[in-house]
Amino acid sequence: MNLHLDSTERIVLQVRKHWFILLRDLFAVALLFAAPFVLIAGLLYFASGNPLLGTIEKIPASVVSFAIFAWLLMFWMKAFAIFTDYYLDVWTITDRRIIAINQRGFFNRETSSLRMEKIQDLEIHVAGLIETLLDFGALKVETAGEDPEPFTINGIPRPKWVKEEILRIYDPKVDRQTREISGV
Amino acid sequence: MPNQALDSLPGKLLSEGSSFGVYIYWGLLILFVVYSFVLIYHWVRFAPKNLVMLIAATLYAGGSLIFLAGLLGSLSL
Repeated sequence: MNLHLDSTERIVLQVRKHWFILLRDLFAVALLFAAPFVLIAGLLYFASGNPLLGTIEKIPASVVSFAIFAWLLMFWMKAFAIFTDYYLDVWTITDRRIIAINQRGFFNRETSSLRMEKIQDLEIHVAGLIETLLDFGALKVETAGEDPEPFTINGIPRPKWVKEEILRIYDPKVDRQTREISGV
Repeated sequence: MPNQALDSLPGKLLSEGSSFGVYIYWGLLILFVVYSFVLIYHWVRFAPKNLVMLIAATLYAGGSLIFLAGLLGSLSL
């Protein structure tokens, strides 16, 4: 991963979205992947004895097989594009800053960085039954800068623990800064 | 008696002696190569080199080979 860290900067934590997010995104693809088999099974089951089946059976096996393999290949490629999108979205928490990499499709990649000193507030949102049961949710980082948009990652696993880890790095930094300003 | 199914569009596209099936096959193959190139570029450039990526790449290559072989096999049916 191409992260340009300072020579003394240390990675504390790397977080990806919860596996359920990947599973949810792949679900539609998996349904479409299985669709030809369901369709054929359905036709064989429901249309037996029906003249419609006789017509369908006249379609050459090569056409059916070609169409099925083409269909499977398309959705196989789509599934790996979804996986790539999921796997390249990552939050890196170092001892100085939070680096958020957001991959949106193949040619849209955002990398943003937030220094620990700029953090004003950390907020977690766990909404719904599945998020509560599987312990994942959104983590919002409010910043002290002019940017009104909070730094947000959705579907983060164990958000409370991640928040505590950030605070563990953040608190001594802010204490030191306060001491330096007040000259203690 | 003429085969009605072969008179239909998909039948014509892949019937014996028709080059349409081969064109579709090559079209899919080119799409697959370009798509895979983009995918692998992202994996090499941005993804960490770990066991997850190794498994993902092996799965992708294995599955794709099976489907491409299936496509090629369909043409020779």
